[in-house]
Amino acid sequence: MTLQIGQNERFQQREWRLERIGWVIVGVFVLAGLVGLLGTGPLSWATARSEQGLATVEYQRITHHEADDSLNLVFPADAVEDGTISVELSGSWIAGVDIQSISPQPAEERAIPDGVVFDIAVERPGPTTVVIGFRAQEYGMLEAAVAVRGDTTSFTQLVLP
Amino acid sequence: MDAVLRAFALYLILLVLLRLTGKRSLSQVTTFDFVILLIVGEASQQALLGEDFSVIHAALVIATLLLLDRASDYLAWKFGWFQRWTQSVPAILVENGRVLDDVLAKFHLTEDDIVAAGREAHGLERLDQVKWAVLESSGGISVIPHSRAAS
Repeated sequence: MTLQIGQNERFQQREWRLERIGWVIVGVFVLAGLVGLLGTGPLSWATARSEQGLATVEYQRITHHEADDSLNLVFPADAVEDGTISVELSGSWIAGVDIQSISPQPAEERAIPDGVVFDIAVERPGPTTVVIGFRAQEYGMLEAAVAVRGDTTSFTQLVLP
Repeated sequence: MDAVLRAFALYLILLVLLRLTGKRSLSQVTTFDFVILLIVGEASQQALLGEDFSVIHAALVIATLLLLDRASDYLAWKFGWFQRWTQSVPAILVENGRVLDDVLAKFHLTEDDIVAAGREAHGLERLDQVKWAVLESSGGISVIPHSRAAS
């Protein structure tokens, strides 16, 4: 009499091997998440600076779909013209994200083909930071161009599902 | 990054809190314990996910939690001290027929709990039929009766 059991040693060996490979993959996945290959993290933080330095964008290379994210627009004192900074944002990024907040709030928003212009009133000249909070609504690569007084920089954001 | 860190922090918090409540706490889940468990899950959900509704974020949180659990299992298997600290140790409640009252008191157990465990596992009728009773690290009470030949 033997035990009635569905044992299969060859399958068990194969299962153990696959399990080990699987856990290595999971470990790599978590590590990639930690360093910023799958979202926020040191490898995702990036800065784009325009040629004359009138606009600097601090953004994340990788963001998540339907997740709160923000980017900083940093302007030096020379970006101010007649008490306002006119920022031109254009590209697929504008259409692909839902802008939740702009701080400080622009005094005026105007539409341009394929984009939008924000006029930000400046009380005292000096380096200024504008924070844009947004939520990505589309997947894949979103490109944006940021221009201040004709000085343009651009950045690309990858939106993961 | 934040998905992994959040999951890690919550894993540690839950581990510490559940260890502090002692091994008996969730071994026998009453209706109320079950509701508490649901609320714990609900409360940790916000901390884990925040305002991120993406699939990749959820996948990262789940992968991190499972990886931590597996790592903890491995360390417990490898190192005795790690197992003691994370999973506790068994404790003897009845030693060769003698009930250790001070140990029972420490765990807030009564002789009724031992008799109940004996009834469930072996159909025992009285406490004097119990030779050994052990509070396992998982929180359950295991009972070894006096063998029939000996009694």
